[in-house]
Amino acid sequence: MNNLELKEFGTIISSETIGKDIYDLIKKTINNNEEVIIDMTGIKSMATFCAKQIFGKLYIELGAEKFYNLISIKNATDDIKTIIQIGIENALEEHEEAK
Amino acid sequence: MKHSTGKENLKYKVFNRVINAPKNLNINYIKDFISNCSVIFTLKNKKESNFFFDFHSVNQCSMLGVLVTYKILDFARRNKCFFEPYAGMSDSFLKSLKKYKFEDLINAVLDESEKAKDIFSKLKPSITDEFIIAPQPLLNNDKYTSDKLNQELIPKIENYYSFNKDFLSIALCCFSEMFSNFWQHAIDESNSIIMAYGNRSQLEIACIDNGAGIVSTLLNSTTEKDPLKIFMSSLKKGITSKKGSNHMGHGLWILDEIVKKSNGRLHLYSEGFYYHRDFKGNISYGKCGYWQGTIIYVYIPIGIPIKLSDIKQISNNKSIKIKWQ
Repeated sequence: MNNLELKEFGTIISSETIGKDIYDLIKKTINNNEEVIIDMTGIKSMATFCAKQIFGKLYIELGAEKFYNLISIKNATDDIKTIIQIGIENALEEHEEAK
Repeated sequence: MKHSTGKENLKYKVFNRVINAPKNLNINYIKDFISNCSVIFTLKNKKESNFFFDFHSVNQCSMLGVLVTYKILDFARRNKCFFEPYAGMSDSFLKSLKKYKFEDLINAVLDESEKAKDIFSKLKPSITDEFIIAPQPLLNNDKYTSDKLNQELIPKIENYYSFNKDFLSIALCCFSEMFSNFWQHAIDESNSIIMAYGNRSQLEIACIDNGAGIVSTLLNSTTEKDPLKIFMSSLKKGITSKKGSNHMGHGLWILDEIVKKSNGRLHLYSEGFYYHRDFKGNISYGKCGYWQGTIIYVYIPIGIPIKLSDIKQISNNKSIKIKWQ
């Protein structure tokens, strides 16, 4: 199982470029159906925009089951958990609307 | 630019145009100041002469007052709105410029000096026992600016508010939403700037740009034609100019909800419209003087501890399963 630490990207994840770098890194890791643990230690906040860009996109691409089986998130604060939740929720809503 | 710190020097001068600043150049009167300044946005390349910025009456000036003053002067200089204008400043106003570390920057802007750009890009946060002042330019290169913010601004704010983890988390949430909101809409000449000012009982954050503005940005993604309704829709959940992208349209909505829960204040100005959420949830909105771009001001008192999950409407899809560890 791979462990990805996000703290090298900064305390606050709010830029599109950094969001894309994180998405690419996770995507590369899970491409061989390998499980990944995303370690949020040191991350104090994340823009909802980035939560959708990273986790919302992965949730849509992988589907709910595969997302749950392949991706674990550890050491996220309660506020970051909420932000990730709404990032995925928004991506799902738009995905449903587009069908 | 010709400066004066005393009224006498300019007593007999006849000016073609005078921009007055209110006595209290703070959040309560900033709408009046924006109205007084609106004409500047119609003067691009006019190079008007005998132009006078009158700050003589100012006896109180807040962070927001300083920031709006800097942005309007900088806009006027960049767009050649006037030719060798005059500026008069009270001692109180000069003290405020010094307090908020804008003295050199505003002087460079007034002198139309090339140094202004350099000073702007080198603005640094400062901290004392009593308060923190943190102006930061939001440059177009989001990765560079994000690194800079993460290395210079955020650690100071984290350190200052380390005594209240819940408040810090909410404060950083406001910052990250404001950063991402301005980067998403940043254009080359928008010259966005974010500034925070706080003490042990409160935090103010203001972000200002001269970019496209809220109505212009949302216009192409809505069937609504009433510009005030378009402006107000920016505060609703899920309203974005870029549906189907990574854009959420949650930024202003989350800020408004945080402010509502914490009994704070949110003021929003853009392209001739305003929205105020004030203490005790009093809301007002409507037309005001034109501001090219957007001004977002958030005031959060520390007294009421809140968490994002306290905001009921924030997430209601229980079927999303995430493996938390």
